[in-house]
Amino acid sequence: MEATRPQLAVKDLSKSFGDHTVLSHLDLHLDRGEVVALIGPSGGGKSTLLRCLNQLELPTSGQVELDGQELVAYRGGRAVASSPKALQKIRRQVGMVFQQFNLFANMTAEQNIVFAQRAALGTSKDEAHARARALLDRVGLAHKAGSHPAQLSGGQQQRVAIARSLALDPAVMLFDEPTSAIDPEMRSEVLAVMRELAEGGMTMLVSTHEMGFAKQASDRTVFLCDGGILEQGPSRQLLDEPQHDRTRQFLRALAEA
Amino acid sequence: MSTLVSWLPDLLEGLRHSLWLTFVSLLLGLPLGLVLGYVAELTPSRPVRWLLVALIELARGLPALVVLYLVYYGLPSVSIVLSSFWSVILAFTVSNAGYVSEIVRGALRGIPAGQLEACRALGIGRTRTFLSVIAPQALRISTPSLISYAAIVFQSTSLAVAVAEPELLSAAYNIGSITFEYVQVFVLAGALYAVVVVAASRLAGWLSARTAY
Repeated sequence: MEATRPQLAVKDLSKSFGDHTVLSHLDLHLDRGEVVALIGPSGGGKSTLLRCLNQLELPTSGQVELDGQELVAYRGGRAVASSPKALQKIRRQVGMVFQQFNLFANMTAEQNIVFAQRAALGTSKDEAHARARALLDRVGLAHKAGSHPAQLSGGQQQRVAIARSLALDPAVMLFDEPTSAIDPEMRSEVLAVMRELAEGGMTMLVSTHEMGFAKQASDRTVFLCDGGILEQGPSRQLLDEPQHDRTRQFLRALAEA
Repeated sequence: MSTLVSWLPDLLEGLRHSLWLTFVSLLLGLPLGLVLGYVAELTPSRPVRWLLVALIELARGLPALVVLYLVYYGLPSVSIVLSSFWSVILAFTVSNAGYVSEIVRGALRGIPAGQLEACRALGIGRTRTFLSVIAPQALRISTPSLISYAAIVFQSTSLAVAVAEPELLSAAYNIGSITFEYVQVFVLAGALYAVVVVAASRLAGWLSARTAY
């Protein structure tokens, strides 16, 4: 049974903000090494779903399991924040890349990656620097190690952010519209890094409007709409022959934009 | 001209005292304002935030001269008698704490929330986040404002003339009352104030240009 257990399992997950229900009884499984694209209209719950997985948001009900471990603690029927220790452990295993990159503005590219390792893992200085340089090299930015975020393009910043996340050696990577804030001509360099990551066997959940990436680099595409999964399937199949009108509409609107 | 020069030693002594009042009241007001502003901005407790914000607004809303009179003339009625020096320091510390905390709150708000979220997502603790991400950026953002504010404090020390503190304006006033050359001596005193204030604002501008990332 061990072999068939999904690496990341979302079970009956709901999230409301006040009266507003964003996610409603959602189930989703990711196998180890699987790359899943999360598509759907803005406000459909993609971001909230990702944020519930590493507990930037606490779900209203439901569970998230990482390698069979339940991550969300409940007390008296309400989700409660995990202890700082438990939370840190979750977040080291679940890397996250944001739409706005969120690099630390007061540090260079290399310092961003070094600081993350030293603060989160207690890595030694030499080791953290060596790893930071190796990762910058991997995302094609070795020559920008000494640049501050303000001196980098959006695409470069996002590649540093990916490297910073990878530095903690996560088991799963979440991407929250990683290319939406980047000029179109700079997107391919970020997508190339993500594709390489996918081919390297990383388990990835990617919220995106890049249908090209979804089709070529993801194993499965999930269409999220009105707080639930309307349909999902192998990416090529879902994107070429969607079963639902709502999905068709969405894909058509996106193609025309 | 030679009379102007003969006034200079007294005026410079007054200037020295004005700078000293500025320095001591900032020395006490800065840390108080830093703590007030930090807690008021980042506390998760609403009642605490409201109370602190109310205090900050009160400290900023009252004219420094009113606070000074309350301290100097009011406190003796409850048997607290302070020298004119310590009255000025206390009154200015209250104002300073209020204004500094407002500058600090503004600086903390100026740090993009996404960076703090990135810290959470990376599993970086609150203390490390504060020391390595928040504090350095808040300091950079607030330093020019703090220097400009210090220049305003320096100007405001002229209010201390109201309780007979021997600062720059008092020194000028004394010279005027003896020589009746009020215009000349006040112009000279004004020039001394201006030199210090302009130098400080130049420093603030230079620092903010130099520390940009």
